[in-house]
Amino acid sequence: MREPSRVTRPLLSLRSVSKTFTTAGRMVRAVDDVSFDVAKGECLAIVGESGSGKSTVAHMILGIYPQSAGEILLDGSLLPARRALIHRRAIQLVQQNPLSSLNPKRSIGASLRLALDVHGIGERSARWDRVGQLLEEVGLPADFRSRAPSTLSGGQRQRVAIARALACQSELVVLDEPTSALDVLVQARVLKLLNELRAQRGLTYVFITHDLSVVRNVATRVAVFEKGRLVELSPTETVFTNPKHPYTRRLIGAVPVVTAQEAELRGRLMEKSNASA
Amino acid sequence: MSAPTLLIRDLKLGFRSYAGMLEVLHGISLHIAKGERVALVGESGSGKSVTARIVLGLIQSLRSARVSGLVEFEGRDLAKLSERERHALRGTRMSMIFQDPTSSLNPVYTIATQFHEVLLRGSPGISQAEARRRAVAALDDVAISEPERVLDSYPFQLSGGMNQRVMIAMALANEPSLLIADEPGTALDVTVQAQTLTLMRDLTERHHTAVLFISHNLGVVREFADRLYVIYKGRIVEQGPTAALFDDPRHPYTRALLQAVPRITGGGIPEIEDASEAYFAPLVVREGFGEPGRAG
Ligand SMILES: Nc1ncnc2c1ncn2[C@@H]1O[C@H](COP(=O)(O)OP(=O)(O)O)[C@@H](O)[C@H]1O
Ligand SMILES: Nc1ncnc2c1ncn2[C@@H]1O[C@H](COP(=O)(O)OP(=O)(O)O)[C@@H](O)[C@H]1O
Ligand SMILES: [Mg+2]
Ligand SMILES: [Mg+2]
Repeated sequence: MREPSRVTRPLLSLRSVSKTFTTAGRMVRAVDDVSFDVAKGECLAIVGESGSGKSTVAHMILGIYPQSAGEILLDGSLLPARRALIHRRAIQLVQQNPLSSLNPKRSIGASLRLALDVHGIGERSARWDRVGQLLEEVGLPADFRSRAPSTLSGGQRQRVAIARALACQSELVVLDEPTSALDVLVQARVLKLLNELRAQRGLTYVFITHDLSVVRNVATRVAVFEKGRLVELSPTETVFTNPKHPYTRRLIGAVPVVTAQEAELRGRLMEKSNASA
Repeated sequence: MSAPTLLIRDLKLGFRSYAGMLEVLHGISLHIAKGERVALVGESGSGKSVTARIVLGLIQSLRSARVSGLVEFEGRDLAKLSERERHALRGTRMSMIFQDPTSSLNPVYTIATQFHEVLLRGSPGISQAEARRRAVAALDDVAISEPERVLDSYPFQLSGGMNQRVMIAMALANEPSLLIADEPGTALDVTVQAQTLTLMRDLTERHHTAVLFISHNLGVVREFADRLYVIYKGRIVEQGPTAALFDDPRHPYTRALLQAVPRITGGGIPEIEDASEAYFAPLVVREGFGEPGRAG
């Protein structure tokens, strides 16, 4: 191979990225010297307690605000602080509360169509049909096009948000607590959809959540954040069977579980944690 | 046998709206024995919080609400109490903890002032000095290491976990016989949530306080409750001891709910219906775990 780097080149790279906020004269280091790669097709989970910097990482990846230091690369090229349209198309966001990102006065169809119009995707005349297809791809009827966001349930809205991320045909989707506001039955269906879409379309996810039991079942690798720092980054299996960092063990040890096998796994990790303490 | 701390029989609730009557509770029955920890678990909108609010006597006075059925607290029919008598029970014989500790504390008063208020309800005329002494002891009980500092703080100066402990201390300060905890700690991080649950369990056990524990989180319920009721769209669908229900759920809805919880041991995301006719199947009662005075 003449260009071996091409094969292994990560889709997304963060290199020594930091973010400092100043509020009321006080400096908060929300993200502190963080580096990681996201491979094409993987689902990298970012976990940590509230305030650990997860959403700040998401916002920097999306270019909602620039990092204070460090570099972010997409497919090997540096992402500028001010993103061009092409960058905005390349990385999509699905948030916890999709209502905040759907215009309440616009129909679901109009919101989806806007994404196609802005990025000039497909023939103008075919776009309305495309909107219907997109809805069907996320398990909603095409005639939801004419509905207002307020008439949809939480799970249905989250499907619309996913459809919009698909509309731009981007490879990289950042999901920030996408199922945290959903009931467990609805969550299961949305997670299943996300897993299927990733497999079928070769999508790459940065999946942010505080819920470790979700992570275990969707992620290929897990990045653990504590107070803005990346303390552990391992394959999912390793994180749940042999976590290296005490903080990771503490996080898993606190997850409320529903089966005896889970309680046993948790107990085992806590034992190690106490032994090393 | 003495009367259970809480007895609810065939409780129905509807709300009048422009579109007609919205039926929210379709005749639910449950009871909590003295000192027992009982969970009411179900998805959002299933009727958990309204049930709690009826027990607290907060819904009966709403003009839009139509309530029927029996609610007995320590053998007394709530419907036969005056508004004043019901009010007198709240914060003394029965108390509550809500989901978000920071917003259920008053932001403009110090913890000391709010604690004094709480203690006045149980001990009218209690002096500030005496209230402070009891507050220090109560905060000490919830493992707050600097009670004096906390008492002189405002809620916003404390962390979410600290406020949650303060809430627990206040809720137990008048030695209630029933504590209603509506999704406690849901707004907190799991590590803090786990600590506060352990704390709540220890304290209620020590004081023999009965608990109505409301949650949508099966894992949390498993760790807290002796017995549980599963509610689906205003109907109890299964009831029994916690361990038995988790080991061998029998109602289609309970099964689905349990199956849907992702496991930290892996196994992927199962295919489950989020709505199904089967979820309306009749109530499943474990032998020996029916309602008092009823077959089953
Ligand atoms: N726009 C902002 N201005 C000031 N501080 C912020 C801002 N956004 C986040 N922070 C702070 O940065 C830290 C990390 O926040 P965040 O990334 O939202 O955490 P998480 O998503 O893990 O809960 C927190 O201390 C938070 O208060
Ligand atoms: N004051 C009210 N007026 C009309 N409907 C209400 C009122 N309070 C609750 N409801 C409805 O009653 C149902 C049960 O609500 P609730 O008990 O809060 O559910 P949860 O199980 O999530 O706590 C919901 O459909 C809710 O919209
Ligand atoms: Mg966040
Ligand atoms: Mg509720």
